[in-house]
Amino acid sequence: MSRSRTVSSLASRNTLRSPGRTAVLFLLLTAAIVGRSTAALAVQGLCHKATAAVEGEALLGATNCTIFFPGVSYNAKAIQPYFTRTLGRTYLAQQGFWNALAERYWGPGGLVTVLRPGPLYRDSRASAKVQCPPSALAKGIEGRYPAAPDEVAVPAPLASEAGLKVGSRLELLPVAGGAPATFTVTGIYIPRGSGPFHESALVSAATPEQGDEVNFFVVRLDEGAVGRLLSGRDPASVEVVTYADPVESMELLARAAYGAKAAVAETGVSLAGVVVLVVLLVAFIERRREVTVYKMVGMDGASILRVLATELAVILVTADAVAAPVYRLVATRLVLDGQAAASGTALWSPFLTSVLWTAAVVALGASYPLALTSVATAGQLSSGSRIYLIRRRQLLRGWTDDDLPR
Amino acid sequence: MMPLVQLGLVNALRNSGRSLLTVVAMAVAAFLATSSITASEGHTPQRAWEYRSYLGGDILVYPQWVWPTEGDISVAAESGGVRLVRLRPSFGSPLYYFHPDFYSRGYLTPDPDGAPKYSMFDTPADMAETLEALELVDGVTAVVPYTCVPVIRGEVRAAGRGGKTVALPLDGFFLRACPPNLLEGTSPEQAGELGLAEPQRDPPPTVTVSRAAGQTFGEVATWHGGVYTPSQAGSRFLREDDAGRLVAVVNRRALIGRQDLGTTTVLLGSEGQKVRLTLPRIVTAPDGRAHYDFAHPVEVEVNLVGVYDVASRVHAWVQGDTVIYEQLYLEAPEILMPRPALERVLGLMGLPPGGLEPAGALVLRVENQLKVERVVEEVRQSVPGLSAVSVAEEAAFANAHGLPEKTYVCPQRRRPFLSSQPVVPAAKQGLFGLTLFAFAGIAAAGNATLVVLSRRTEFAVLKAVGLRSWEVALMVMVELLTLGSLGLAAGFAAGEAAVLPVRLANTAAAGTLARDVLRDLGLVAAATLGTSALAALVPMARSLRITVAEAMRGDE
Repeated sequence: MSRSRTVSSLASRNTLRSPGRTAVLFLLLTAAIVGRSTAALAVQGLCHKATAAVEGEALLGATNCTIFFPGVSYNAKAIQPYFTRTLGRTYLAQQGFWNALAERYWGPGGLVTVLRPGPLYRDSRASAKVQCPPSALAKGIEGRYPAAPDEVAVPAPLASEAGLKVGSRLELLPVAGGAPATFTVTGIYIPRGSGPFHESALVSAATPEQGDEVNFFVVRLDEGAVGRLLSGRDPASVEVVTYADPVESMELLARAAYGAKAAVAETGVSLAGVVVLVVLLVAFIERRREVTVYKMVGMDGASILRVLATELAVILVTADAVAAPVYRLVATRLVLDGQAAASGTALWSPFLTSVLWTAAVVALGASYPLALTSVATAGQLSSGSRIYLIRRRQLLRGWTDDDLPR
Repeated sequence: MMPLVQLGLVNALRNSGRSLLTVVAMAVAAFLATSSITASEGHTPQRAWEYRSYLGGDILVYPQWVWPTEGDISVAAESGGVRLVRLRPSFGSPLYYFHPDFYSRGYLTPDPDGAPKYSMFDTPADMAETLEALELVDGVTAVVPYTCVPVIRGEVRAAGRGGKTVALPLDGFFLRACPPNLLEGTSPEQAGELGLAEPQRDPPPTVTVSRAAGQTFGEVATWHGGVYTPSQAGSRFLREDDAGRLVAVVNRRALIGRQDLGTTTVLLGSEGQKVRLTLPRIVTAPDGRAHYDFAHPVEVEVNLVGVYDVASRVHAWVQGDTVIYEQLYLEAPEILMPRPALERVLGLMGLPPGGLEPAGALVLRVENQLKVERVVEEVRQSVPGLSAVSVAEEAAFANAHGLPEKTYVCPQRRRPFLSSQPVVPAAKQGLFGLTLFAFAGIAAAGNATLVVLSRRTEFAVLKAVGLRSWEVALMVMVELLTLGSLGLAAGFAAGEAAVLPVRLANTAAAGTLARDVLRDLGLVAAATLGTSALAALVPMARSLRITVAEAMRGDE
């Protein structure tokens, strides 16, 4: 019989003949793998569920930023070269890009902005001019959109706060000073997205003298573009507000909230390593005679190590094999709420990670007892004397004359 | 019986290696178990005391989802409707300086009405109900609403460069009710460590400490932190007897933060400085809801009698062999008034008697900081719709993000900055505590098992010389428990020592202290010594079944 076959046969026989120890390790490892995989899947699912609960947009379409030039206005076509230079050519093609002439007033709750929709130029030809629709801001409206400059549509949250209804008169105080302006509320609109600016953005109609003048833009910008826009400008001359992505924010929040659970699951699995260490240490003490016999019949430390490692590997592989269907059952019945797993990757990636993690933990836990077994001599084992991985005397004092071979 | 006990002790002494291992294993287990229990202890009275002093308490109760818990997120995941909202600049709250990103980038909340606008409560009844619930929480001694109103316009005169008078704008400031602990004349017992600090001259912007010369910051720092009135003729803080008089003090650092103005002195005569403030009108609906109307403002004249500074913390950075310390100030743009005076102002703004006051947060005072985190947990349970956090935690979060103070001297690259919405992983302490307990139990049980199993031959010999099984078991148990108790004492003492400064610093009553320590000891002993004794029983029973012949043959 070849050496490897002898080792395998010894390992299998030992595994089968020690049902108690095998059962303890098997159950422990199976529970650890299933527990960790399920916890990871649950945390992953919770994060996914949390992000699904978020209203996906803060502003219009894919935009994330508002730019306001207080006190000035620009021709919508003439400002294009500046924007193209500063923000890049892609800004014009953005979904949800919108502009207006904005006026600031003191009103209910604080500063309110009256937006008079402006024109968009998709290219340098005047024929590509498109008027920004007021309906872009709304999911629905009670009443109608304003048709005259002294009419406004009010966002529903503001109307609820200030007790405004269709037909109400609304007096606003210009921030720049001057006489109060009075508007008639013609509509109460439900803002699109969850953008906070909608809570204080009143929509009105363009004035005859407004023409192509605009000073308020809703765009999508990255941090670099915001930096370019602000560099060289007096901060008072431009107001750039960038909104966080709600879905990304929720993902971060959910990860942080459930992260503790995941960390505890990881720590819990580490317990398996400690228990493996304890079980193997106990087994080592119980199996001293067995290892002595192995050494006496000529097996070297490495071979004995292979026998013991193979025993452990057999138990680990069996635990993996049994844990897989158990995990699938638990995951589909309890965690995924009876639904069949939509994606194999989503279901099995936590399991595979757990298998690797458990193998690493077991290897770590087994390293000390296995190392003791391999370095011990038959004499030490049979006489019950102490076994050192490193001789203290050598470690502390170095070699002495007594240690030299005679 | 006694000879058996003696034999157990002699065995423990003779086999020093094994005994030492047992003691160390038990000590580690006891330390882990003790740490898991004491992890939820509070803080020392010095922790974040400058912020607590300015806020007037130890716990902040905020609107929904400012500090969401894991439970909040789970509930929202089921019901949906979470959205990003932005706080209005007119919403006065500690959020203004602890979480300024909530006002600029926004934060997530499932509140169907969006972010709070006028007050964190909808109606006076809601507010009264919450206050009542919080006052019933064990350990809470006072609940103070963080009441403040926005200032639309106003200006204060100060001495500028070359003796010129400059007008400093108060636009965007808040009028806030002064917390009772800061009023001059409040008894030291009532104010505790949160009282007003002594007046002092301006400390230097930075101090440099040479590490090479062995200097320490304590040797060069000659000033103190906290809320104080800078030494300036005519300036004073608010007094208890100011009551309903329209007097106020302003945060000087919020005014002079713009260093290009070159001023540090607000002009105050012997009678103070009269300041006209434009404030929004308060409009109250029949159902008790209220909102600000900025389109129809009111003007109020208050008498500015003093200025104050909040020297909150020192920011340090290393430069070569030296450490540079910069004193930072909380530049909260707030004008403090006595609460009765602010109530008068609210009346002038249109708030009817019994109307909803604009509260941006609630500040809770607790008996001491010792149990503050446990009280926070109870507060979360009693007002589930709101967020609760200890000021110590809030300050730690803000400081880690380079907030709430502005840094002027420290180079940009040495300043921390990371903006995000905080979250409370509610299960962290409980689950980690449980895990540590499990570790401790396994370590103790494993050790006990090993100690028994390695001595089977010895047991057989003892039986051969006439000892009965129960006598051997008693002897081993005495040895195990003696060594275990030593380890327990060492580990428990080390674990408790870690929280001793917190307990002693809070000057808790001796009886409370003793009760807490004994309770901890009982739990740790059960988790370690108890587990150890139980775990030893099974292998012992198995070992005691071995006969002398089997032992001599080595047939294990």
